[in-house]
Amino acid sequence: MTEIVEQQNPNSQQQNIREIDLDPAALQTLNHSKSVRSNSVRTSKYRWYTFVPLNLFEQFTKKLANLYFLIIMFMQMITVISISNGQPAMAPPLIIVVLISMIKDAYEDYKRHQEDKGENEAFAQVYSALTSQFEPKQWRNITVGDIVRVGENQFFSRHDNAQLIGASR
Amino acid sequence: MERISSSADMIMLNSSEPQGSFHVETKNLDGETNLKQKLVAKDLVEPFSTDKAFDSVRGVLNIEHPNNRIYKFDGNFNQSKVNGGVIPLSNDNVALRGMSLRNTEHVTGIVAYTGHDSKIQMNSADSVYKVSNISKQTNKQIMLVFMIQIICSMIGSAVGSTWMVANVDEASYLSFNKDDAWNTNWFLLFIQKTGTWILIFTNFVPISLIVTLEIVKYWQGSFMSMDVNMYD
Repeated sequence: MTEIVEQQNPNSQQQNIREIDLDPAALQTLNHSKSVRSNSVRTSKYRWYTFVPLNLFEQFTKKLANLYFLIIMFMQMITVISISNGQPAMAPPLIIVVLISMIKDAYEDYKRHQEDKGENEAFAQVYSALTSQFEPKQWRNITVGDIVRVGENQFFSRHDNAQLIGASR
Repeated sequence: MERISSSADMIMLNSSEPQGSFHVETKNLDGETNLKQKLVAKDLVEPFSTDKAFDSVRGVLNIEHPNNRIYKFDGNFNQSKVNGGVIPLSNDNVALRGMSLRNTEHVTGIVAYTGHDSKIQMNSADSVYKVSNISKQTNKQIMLVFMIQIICSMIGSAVGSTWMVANVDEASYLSFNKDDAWNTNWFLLFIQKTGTWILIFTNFVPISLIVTLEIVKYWQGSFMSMDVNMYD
């Protein structure tokens, strides 16, 4: 036994070990520390406030055609060389093309948001020391040290099961 | 058959089956559809055989830092402070987020890694802006066409400027202001006319082609996701 204890604590390896003290107070401290992450996951790419700038940036850097037409549009606004009387004649088609791509990207990310939401808000059975039984708890609220039962359970409603099946796809 | 999946990476304490064994399917993690047998660590089967034991689970779990290795796990459950032993834990004793429980009524475990610390999340790359081969190729073609366009513009502009410098006196009907350097200096004329010619040749790169390409790609993509034979 002492051998194993010694193996756990050489200085070189200490950083590679996650220590979880199951004492309730210690668990609370651990779960409020920066070393563990919440069980809520995000696979979506954009947040609502990063969508417009980030998506525009990507559309004009990853698709050369868009950048080309943007440059042409600005050139059209220089009066000495303009053949469209200084009007940005390229603007309407460019805006339409960019908008359509934007809507497509937004829809795809919306589906990812929905999937994340379904997973984060699904219910799991977590043991409660207060009531001495398993109680439903949303996935996003599960923390390190929780005792979780996976499987058929009388407390599972049909709805919860359906959500879990959806999330496990 | 019921499909219930694990919500986080857990170290198993209890299973409804004999000897603490249970089966999982790991399709979401490694794509394998066969059932894998896992077990509760031998020394934990007896202490956690009843739900009452969950009331006071004490001890220290010494486990690896979050990592993406789904087939390897090292750690131990140190109960020496509460009159227990040190129980070694291996990959057989953990259920990972994304695994589904099969042929087993229920299992119970203690959460070790949550959310983005879990192995399935450590394995998934950030979602990136996808660029298809065809759009990479389109980008190359656009570069090439743009070069040709510039060359054509410069030829047109050179011819135009030369004519302008030579004929600005005779072409009074065009009413150019001869005092303006932009109308008489060859180099200034060249720059100005190159810009104009680029605008004239704008449709060397057809905007409609790009739109058509996008629509076709989307359409073919939706055919692929509608394909019944793609699902099992």
